[in-house]
Amino acid sequence: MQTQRDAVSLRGLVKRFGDKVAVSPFDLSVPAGSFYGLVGPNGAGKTTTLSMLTGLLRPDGGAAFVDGVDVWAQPQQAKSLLGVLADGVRLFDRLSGLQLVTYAGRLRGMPADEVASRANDLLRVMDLEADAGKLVVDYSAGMRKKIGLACAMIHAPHVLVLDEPFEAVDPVSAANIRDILTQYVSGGGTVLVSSHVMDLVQRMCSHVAIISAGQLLANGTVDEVRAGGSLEDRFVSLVGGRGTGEGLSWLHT
Amino acid sequence: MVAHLIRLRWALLVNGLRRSPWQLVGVILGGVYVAGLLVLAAAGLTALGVTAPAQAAPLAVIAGSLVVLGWAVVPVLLTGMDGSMEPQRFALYPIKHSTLATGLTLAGFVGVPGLATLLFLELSSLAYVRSLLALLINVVAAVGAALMAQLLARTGIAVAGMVATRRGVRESASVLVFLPLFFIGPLAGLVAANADALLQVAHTAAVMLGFTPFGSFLGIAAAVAQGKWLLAGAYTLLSAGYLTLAWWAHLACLRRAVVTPPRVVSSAAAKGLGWIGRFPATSWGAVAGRCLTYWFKDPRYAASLAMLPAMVVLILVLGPLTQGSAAHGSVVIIALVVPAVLGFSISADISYDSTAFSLHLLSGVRGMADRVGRAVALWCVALPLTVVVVIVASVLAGDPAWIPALIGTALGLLLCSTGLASAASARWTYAVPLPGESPFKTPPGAGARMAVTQLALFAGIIATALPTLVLFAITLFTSSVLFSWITLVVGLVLGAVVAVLGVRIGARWYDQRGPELMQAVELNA
Repeated sequence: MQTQRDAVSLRGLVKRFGDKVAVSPFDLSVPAGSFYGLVGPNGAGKTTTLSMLTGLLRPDGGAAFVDGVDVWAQPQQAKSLLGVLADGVRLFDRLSGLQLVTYAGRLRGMPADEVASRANDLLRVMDLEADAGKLVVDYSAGMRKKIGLACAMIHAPHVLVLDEPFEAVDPVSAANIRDILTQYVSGGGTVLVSSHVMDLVQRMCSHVAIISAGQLLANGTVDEVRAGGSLEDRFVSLVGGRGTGEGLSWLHT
Repeated sequence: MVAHLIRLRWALLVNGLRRSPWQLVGVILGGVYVAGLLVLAAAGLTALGVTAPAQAAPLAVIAGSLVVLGWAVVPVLLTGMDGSMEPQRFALYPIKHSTLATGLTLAGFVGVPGLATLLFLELSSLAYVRSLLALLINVVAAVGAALMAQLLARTGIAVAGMVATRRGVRESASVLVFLPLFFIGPLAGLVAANADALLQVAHTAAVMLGFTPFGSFLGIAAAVAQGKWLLAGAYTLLSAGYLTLAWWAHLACLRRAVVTPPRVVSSAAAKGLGWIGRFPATSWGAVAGRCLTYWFKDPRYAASLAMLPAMVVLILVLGPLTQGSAAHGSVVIIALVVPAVLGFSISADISYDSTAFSLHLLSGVRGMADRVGRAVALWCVALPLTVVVVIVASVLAGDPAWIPALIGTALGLLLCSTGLASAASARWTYAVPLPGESPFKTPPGAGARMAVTQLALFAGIIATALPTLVLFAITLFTSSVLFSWITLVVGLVLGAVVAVLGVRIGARWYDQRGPELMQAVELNA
């Protein structure tokens, strides 16, 4: 069965907020070992889709599977396979960086020594060692993304789901995060990442799905989807909505 | 521009309520309650104004002054203020400072507390139904008094915000609120002594209040009604002076606020794992360690501890004042409020987490681990405090027979309130000040919401702990050693049952409704 080989499989997830349909049913399969990009304009339903996959938002219909485990039927098992960096949520920011990563590990019931050694490793590769004792509330936006990523990785998940991991991250840190993720994928892990930055997705991802207004417009390997052109051009032509070029005639000095 | 600001305040209020129906319920309940009080006050003052104008006038002045004083004190020390119209938010707009100050002050009347204050002060004119001139004067002066209240509140909050960057300042300041309570005892004695003296006191108090910023406006009409023209003139001058001063102070604070960006003070670094390292490496241990860290680092949690020193002081002061066994009993009862209220403090735990709660949900934390962890953290704080209060009360109580009953009832109440709060916080979330926000800020409707929840929880605690409380009362009246020990056993057993049930029900709700809780906290964020 196809589902068994997919790291993530979305089967007709639906979410309505009142009259507005945020996500219409579509099927999407993320093969194990792929670096999968999820792109779409603002308000396309990326975060809603990922929230329904990770157990944060109960779908109105459909199902989501992680390694063949139904997220909403066996949430505990599915959540142990998933590592998630959610977008737009707070962190427990009165803890120090080290405390937060340790907290994330211990919440999952991992043994203390394992958490301690992994937390140190994660802080080192995230370049946060020097700030390990600083409270997260005093971290910059980029540092918060990195500490959130560390929290998502501490239990060595099979699948990483990252919502806008590069937002507000400086280029050096972004390159470091990219290396970590590429390494993770080459080690057999699967990454599902949402982003606005087409260039980044084109260079980094093996697969891509384009969604807009809660609908799946295209998906497949990056080369299939961009069909010879750049991903950005393909994206704009699929999604539409470019202005006519008429500017603000009064906006000059 | 001023009209714009008032409309903005109205739009913010309406939109906020549209977002959360519970806030609307809070505002409506608060509104109905206040309207009822206003009608009662108006009827009472009118009746008194017709039958005994000489007593109505000082009463109106004293009541009005207390309301104005309340605006100066309560927002700073207890409730905080809605932060949606902070001067800082207008820093980027080219608005003249005086215009902004006018707009923000007048916008303060949009909302239940501001409007109710204005109405109450206006209605207090009814005390002068026998003297048309005084009535008309008071109708005008009441507006001044209401403005004074707004300015005092705003300036107070601004000054407190500058001073109280360190938490702890506010907590200790909260004790001041309880100071007037200390005088209730002696005052009550005075009332009993003779009523004529009280009337004299009221007259003197009203005249004195007229010289303060709180009562100067309201004193004018009272003086006119009594034909004391000189006094009325003095009050008028004072009022003008006070209002000008308050205006300048407010303007100065606003000028400062719009050019001072919110202070970002780096917190002290945390060494090692802190409390998290001191609990077992399990889910519940992690939750307990994290929550305990928050008890010490998050100012919002400190608010629930604010009343503790006050309670102890209250017991210490009232103890020696009261005489006789029954009076000592009432002192002991105050000691029981402490454990009951402490248990409440985790009733908004998930609301305080805000969207950081997502980490618990994503990690698949079991409801049991979450509930137990939070309860353990609470107990690390509440148990020592309860013991201290019980010891203080025991020493004062003077009757050693009461001590087992006191311990049993106090711990029983703590257990009951922990259980109820553990269940409630997994089911209901509230609009609370967000993490990092000043505890001085409160969302609209939060006051009434808090009152309703506290009432419901208190009713729940009294209901679940009723057998213990009855036994405790019997012990107090009989001083029976046997009943005292029975109270201890019943209190502990009953409390344990309620705590276990509450945690289990809370855990089940948590497991079933995790994503719904997440949506609820997102709505508040």
